[in-house]
Amino acid sequence: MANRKGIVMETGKGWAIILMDNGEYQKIKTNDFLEVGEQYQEKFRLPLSYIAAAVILLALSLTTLDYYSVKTYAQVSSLAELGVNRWGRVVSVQANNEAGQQILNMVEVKNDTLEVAVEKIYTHTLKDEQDNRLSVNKPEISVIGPDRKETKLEEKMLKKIDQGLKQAEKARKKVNSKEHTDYDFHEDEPDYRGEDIDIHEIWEDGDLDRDNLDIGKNNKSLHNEQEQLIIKIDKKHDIITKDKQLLPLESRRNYNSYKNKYDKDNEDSYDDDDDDDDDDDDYEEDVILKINN
Amino acid sequence: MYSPEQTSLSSMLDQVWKDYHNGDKEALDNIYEHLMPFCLRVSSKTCGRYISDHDEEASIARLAIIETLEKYDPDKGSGLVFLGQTIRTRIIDYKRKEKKHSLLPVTFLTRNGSSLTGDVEECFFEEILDDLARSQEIEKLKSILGEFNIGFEELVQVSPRQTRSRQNVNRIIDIIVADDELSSYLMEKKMLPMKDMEETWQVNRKLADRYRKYIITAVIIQLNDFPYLRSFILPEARGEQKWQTEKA
Repeated sequence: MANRKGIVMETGKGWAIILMDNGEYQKIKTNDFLEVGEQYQEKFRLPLSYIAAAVILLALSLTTLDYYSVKTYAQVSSLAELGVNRWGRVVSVQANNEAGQQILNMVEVKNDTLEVAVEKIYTHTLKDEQDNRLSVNKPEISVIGPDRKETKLEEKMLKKIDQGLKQAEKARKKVNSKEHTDYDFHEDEPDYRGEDIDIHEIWEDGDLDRDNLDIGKNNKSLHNEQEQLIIKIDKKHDIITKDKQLLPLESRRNYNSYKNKYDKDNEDSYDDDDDDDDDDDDYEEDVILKINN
Repeated sequence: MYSPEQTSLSSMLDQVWKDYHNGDKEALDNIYEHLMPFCLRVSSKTCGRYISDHDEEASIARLAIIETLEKYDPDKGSGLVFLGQTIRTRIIDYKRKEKKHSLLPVTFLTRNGSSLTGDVEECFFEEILDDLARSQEIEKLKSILGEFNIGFEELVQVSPRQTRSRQNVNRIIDIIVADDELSSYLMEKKMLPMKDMEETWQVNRKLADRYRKYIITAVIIQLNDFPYLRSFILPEARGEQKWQTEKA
C-alpha cells in the first residue's frame, strides 16, 4: 500500500486536518508536531484488529503444536504405548500387540488425562480377563521420557498412573461386591420375601399391624426397605383418615375431588340453616307487632 | 530551485544586507515582518514544538537576524539558508546551556529527521519556505471560505470517499470552473447554480447538493491563485482522466 501525501490544513491538540493528494479532506489523530502548510506523509500502519488476529492465530497454532507434542511415553503392560503431552494428556496411542489393539478399538483414550486413560484400559483389561475366567494381574507400567531432563514429568506421570490404577482397583472391587450382594430389587414391585404379607390387604383393612411387617429381620437392607414402606403407608393413612373414613386405593387418587365435594355439601347445609334462622326472626317480629296492635 | 516566495524573500534579504553594510542600520525594519514567520518556523522545527513570538526562542531568532546581517557573505550561498543555520545553531546552543540547569535530554530535539549535532541541508530551509507559502495560501482560502460559512472540519464530513463519487463531483467542479457564468454566480450569490447546471449540464442535483461545500471549496481553489493547493485537487495533477466538460 502506497503511502499517500497531503497538506496540513488545520491543526489542534492531537489532531490535524489534511488535504490528501486525491482531494479528500481527512482528520487524523497524531501526536507529531505538525504546522499548517506542512507536507504530510501518511504512515502505513497495520490495523490493530489485524495485529490482534495474527497474535491470536499464532498463539493458537503454537498451543496446538505444543499440545500434540509428546513429552513422555507411558507403557501399559505390553498392550499399548501412550504418548503424553506436557499437560498429562494422551495425544498418541499405539497398540503393541493384537490384544492391545482390540482394547484400544473399544476404548477411546485420546485427549484423556493419563490417569483416566490408564483407568479405562485397566478396567477394560480386568473385565476382559474376568469374562475369560483369567487371573487378574496388576499391569506393568513404565514411563519413558524422550529427554532425560524430563525426570520431573516422568515422576508426575507415574503418580497419575498410580492414581488411575487405584481407581480401576476400586472399580473392580465394586463390581465384585455387587455380584455377591445384588438381588433383583425393583421399587415398583418390591419383593419382601416375607411371603405371608400382602400390602393390599393392609390398605383395605385400614389397620396397620407393624408386627406382621417384621420380616427379613436378619437382612439389614430389607429391614430398611420395610421401615421406608411403613413411613410411606403412615403418610397415606393420615390423608385418608381425615374424614374418619378409610378409602380404597383407587379412591385415593380422586381424593381431592372427593374432598371438594364433601366441603361443598357442608357449605350448602350451613347456608340452609341461616335461612331458617331468618324465618324465625321474621315470625317473632310479626307476633310482637300483633300484640302491640 | 526557489519558488516566487523564496526568491522574493531571498532577494529582499540581499537588498537589506547591502543597505545595512552601507550604513542604513534601520534597513532591517523593512524586512522584519516578512522574515519573522520564517525564523519562527525554523525555531519550531528545531525545537519540535510551536514557537510563538513571545517565546525565548523567538528572541534568539531576532538576535540571529542581526548576526546574519553582520556575518553573511553573499559569495558563500543564500542569505536565507545562512539565516536558518544561524537560528538553528543559536537555539541548539541555548538548549545545551539550559540542559545544564535542568534534566531535559537534548535528544528530544531530534524530531522531524533533523539532528542537533549535524548541520541540516539547504533543502530543509527550502521546505520551510514552501511550508510558509502553503500556509499563506491556506490562510487566504480560510478567509474566503469564511464568507461561505465553510470550515475545514465540515469539509472532512462532506468529502467524497468513493472514487466514483469523487470523479462525478470533479466533473461538476470542472463544469463550474470552465463556465464563467456559473462561477461568477457562485462567487456572487455564494451558492451553487443548481438550476443552470441541471438544465444545461444534466448535473445530478442530489449529488451536487450532497457535496455542495466540497464543490464550492474546490472551485474557489481553482479560481483563485492557489498553486500549491491546486495540485492536490486537480485531476490532471494526480494523473487521472479529466472529465468531459462539453455540454450535453
